[in-house]
Formats: sequence, C-alpha cells, structure tokens
Amino acid sequence: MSLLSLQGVSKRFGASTALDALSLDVGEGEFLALLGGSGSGKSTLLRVVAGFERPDSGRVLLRGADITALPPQRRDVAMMFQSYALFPHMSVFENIAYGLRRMGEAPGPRVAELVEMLGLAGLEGRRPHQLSGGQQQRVALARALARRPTLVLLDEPLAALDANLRERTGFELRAIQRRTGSAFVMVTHDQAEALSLADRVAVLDAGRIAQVAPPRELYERPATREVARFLGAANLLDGPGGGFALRPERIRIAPGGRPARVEEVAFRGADVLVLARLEGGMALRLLLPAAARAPAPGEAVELHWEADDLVPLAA
Amino acid sequence: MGGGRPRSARRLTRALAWIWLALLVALPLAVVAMMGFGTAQPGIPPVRLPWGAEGWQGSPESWALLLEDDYYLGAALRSLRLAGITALCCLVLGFAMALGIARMPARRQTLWLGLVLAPFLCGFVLRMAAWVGMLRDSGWVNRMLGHLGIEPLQLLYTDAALLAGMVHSYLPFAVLPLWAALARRDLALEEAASDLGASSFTVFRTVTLRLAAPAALAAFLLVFIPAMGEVVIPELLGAPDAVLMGRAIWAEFFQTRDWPLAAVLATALLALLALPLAVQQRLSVRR
Repeated sequence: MSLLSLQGVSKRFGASTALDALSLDVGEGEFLALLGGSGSGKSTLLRVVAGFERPDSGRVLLRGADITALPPQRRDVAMMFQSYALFPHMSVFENIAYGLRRMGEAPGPRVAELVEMLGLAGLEGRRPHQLSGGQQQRVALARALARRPTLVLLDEPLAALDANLRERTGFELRAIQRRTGSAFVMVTHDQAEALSLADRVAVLDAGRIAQVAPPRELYERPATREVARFLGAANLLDGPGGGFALRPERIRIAPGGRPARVEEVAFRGADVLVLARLEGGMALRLLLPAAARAPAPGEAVELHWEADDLVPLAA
Repeated sequence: MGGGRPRSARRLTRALAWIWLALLVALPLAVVAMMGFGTAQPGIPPVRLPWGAEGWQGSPESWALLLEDDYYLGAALRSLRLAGITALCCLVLGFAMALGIARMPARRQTLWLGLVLAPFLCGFVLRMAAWVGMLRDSGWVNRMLGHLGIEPLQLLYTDAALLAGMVHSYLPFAVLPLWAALARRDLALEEAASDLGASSFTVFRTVTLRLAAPAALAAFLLVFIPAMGEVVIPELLGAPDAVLMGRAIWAEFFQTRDWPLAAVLATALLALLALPLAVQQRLSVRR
C-alpha cells in the first residue's frame, strides 16, 4: 500500500482547471519531485494534500485512510512553505516548538535534536528577521519535521536561496530525508533540482501527470513532447509515425552524417553549445565536450546520431 | 523617501512642516501652559498673564487647586473610565469588523469600508440627535415598549446612552487601522500554524491576534485620546451630574471664566494623554 494516494483529483478555480482528474501514488520514505512550469497545477496539488484546498472531486488517501475532508491540523502531513512562513514574533526555538506545543508535548528535547541536525545551534533565541536566508530555510524545515510527520511537503524549498547555496542545501535536504525516513514531496520548476534530488519525478502539465519515472529514465525516455521540452531543451524531430526527441549531447560531428551549417557557438565551460541548421531548414542544438574541437560559425559540418538515440514521443 | 528630489526642495518641505508645528502647535501650547500660572481677573481677557511689565508674577495657585479639589480628579477618573471603555468596545467591535472585511474579496472590501465610513456623510450632531430621538422618554424605543405594555424607561442621559453614542461615533477610527493591518497580513503564516496542528481558535490567538497587536494598540489610542476630551456627546446623551474632563475645561473657560484653571486642566489632560503615546512610540521603535 502506498503512503499517499491521489485518486482522480480535480480542482477548478473559476474558468481555469488547476488539477484535471489527477492520480498519483507516493511510497513510504520516497522522495518525489513534482516538476512543472507555472500554472501546471503543482502548487495546487501540494495545497490539496496539505488540506488548504478541497478538491472539487476525487479522493486523497493517506495510508489508506480517506483524508479528503480533514482540515490541515488533523493531517499527519507537514508543509514547508516557499516563503518559509516563519512566525516573525517568535524565536527560532518557539517556531520549531510550535507544532510540539499543539500536541501538548514538552518541546525541549525534540527542538534540541532538530537544532543539532540542522546546524542551528546558538540561534535558538533569534527572531527570523535576524537570520540569513539559508538559516531561515533550515528553521522552516526543522519546524516542518518537528512532529515527525510521515509526509513532508516542500514548496520550492531551494528557490529563495542563491545559486552556490542551492546545491549544498539540496544534498543536505536529501540526507535529512534519508535520516528521518519521512516521505518528501517537493514542488519545483527546476529540472536539474528535480532530477538530482528525487527518487522519482512526476512531470505536471496542465493539471495532469505527463509522466512519472525515476530521473534517469525520465531524462532518457521522455514519454511526451511536453516532458522532453521541459527536461532541458531536447531537439524535437518529426518523423514517420510521430515525433521523436533527440538529446543535444547525443549528436556528434562526424563524416558521413547529415550535412548542416553551424550558426552559433557558445563555450559554456564544461561543454560547448552549438546551434546548427540542417539542409532543409531544421535547427538542432548540439552539446560537444569542451575538449573536442569546436566548429566555427558558418562552417559546414556533418551531424551524426544513432537510430537508438531517437526517442519516440506520444502525441 | 523623496530620493530623487533636490536637497533645497526637501529642506523647504521640512521647513514648512516645522513652521506649521511652531505656529499652530507649539506656540498655542506655550500660551496655554503659561496661562496656567496666571491669575483670573474681571475684564477682557479675564486673565492676568504671569509675565508682565514687572517681570514674573505667576502663581501656582491653579495647579494647587487642581491637586486639592477632588472635583477635578473625579472628572479625570470618569473621563479615563469612559474613554477606556469606549476604546475597548471600539477595539473589540472594530477587530471583528476589520477581520470580516479583510477576509472578503478585494472588490467587496472597498464597498464595506465605504459603508464603515458612511456615517461621516451625515453630520455629527445630527447622528447624536438621532440617539436623542430614539432614547428619550417619548422616543422611538419607549413607544415600542409602550405597545408591549412596558412602562417607559429612563434611557437618555444615562451611562449606557453615552457609551452608545461614543462607540457609534468613534468606531470607524478603530476599524481603519485594524483593517489596514489585517488586509495585508501574510495568510501563509495562518496556514503554517494550522498545518502544525493549531485549531482555528489557536491560530487566531497565537498568530492573527498577536501580529495585529501593534495595530490594535494604535486603534485603541486613536479612540482613547479624542474620547478623553470629548465634550459634545456627554452633553447630549450623558448624565448631567457626571462631569467629565472636556466638560470641566469648557465650564471653567466659558462659564466661570477662570482661564488659568481651564489652562491648567487642559495641560494636565495633555500630559495624561502624552503618556500612552510615549509608550506606543517606545514599542514601535523596539520592533
């Protein structure tokens, strides 16, 4: 039995459909990423699971029990908000202790444990506005974990951090998830974040799940055009019997391939991005290793790829 | 603020504000404070200022009277009680109204705020006269009671009538600052609290109310301060023998024509009101 099960959940706001008969299962202790653009319904999905929104139809099950009609305070689910939503009038200690106090539990030992786990020692007496962004993020996570929820929802947990902090915090998030054993469901619009952190990634498009799969499978075998497009600028080709995705790093410059002309070349450090136009008008993106000889703009080249590299897409 | 404006323009606006304060606030206050040390005399004006041709001739006699005579202390306490109760009623009612309005969709909020302010479209004295018409012995309420076979009640010129009139006219001053604070509160904080297991009441108590506390204090003072010196409403609706500060000042000034005593009363009232304001300043600086 899965930990969380969404069954045909729909939610409409006026004329727009946020969730369209969506079904999804999350296993015990799993780290699932919900990946989608703005308006894909990923935040609404999180809010339905947390209990802030009632779905128009469908059911939400937690360990087999129907929680669709339960208010947030009666769900064994904790949410970490994108804005962190730390209580500005309370200290770090009181923020983390808030949920424990509501259970009538003496908060001391558990707060100490979380402070230690998240490296917040010495900050217990500070107010949220006296903390850095990274520290605030940790307090928000500690507060969500305090009641040992079986399911933790994270709304863009890394979005508010600056780039060099994001990578490290991502690894820490992963480590904490393993250590607590709680299932994490994380909403993100960043494909690299989703692929690097999650056990499985669910790609949302227009209120529906376009594909759920482990990161590597999702990356190499995108099921639809939307998924391929969302997972980082794959080339989309039309062929007999439908569309194909062709990853930029699978294309090589080699004699005997298809003739093309190089239009743009951009050195990016680890690799070189090349934009080349096939005879017949189609533009392709190529990623060449930085060590390879980069072609010059305007140069005539021949592009080569294996038949296996063409991933068929559903309409 | 005013970042792009040239320095001279900033200086001019600041100077205008200072001139305004000096001429219309500081100077009259100084005159009133000084008058408190003068002596009453028949004539126009009915006061001899303490600083004349022969130098300082002031006397602290009016201040001494204020401290000796229970009459004025009684008036101050009655005013304190009335202003306190009025401000408290306005705070509780105003909080409920402001929260209700803040929870509406944005367009309905404008309409309801307009309704809160609507009484201002009708003259103040007229609004109070309506209470008189409603509450007097042969008024609307007593006629209704008469139809039910109940003897007419003394409604007008009671503390209850006075409180009704006070709350009625001061309520909007409490609703506006509370609404301003509640309308821009961060809803995610309340969601976070309920997500962490707090019931609706606990969310209200530990988050909503706690974060609105500065606005609540402001709302309280916005009612409390003018209510302390209120003259007209007690005159129209209140019991005639229960003298309040505003009434006492008015009587000394216009009836007994003891300007020094009136000035002393006014100064004392101001000092009394400066205290809570100073506390509020302290609190808002600390935040």
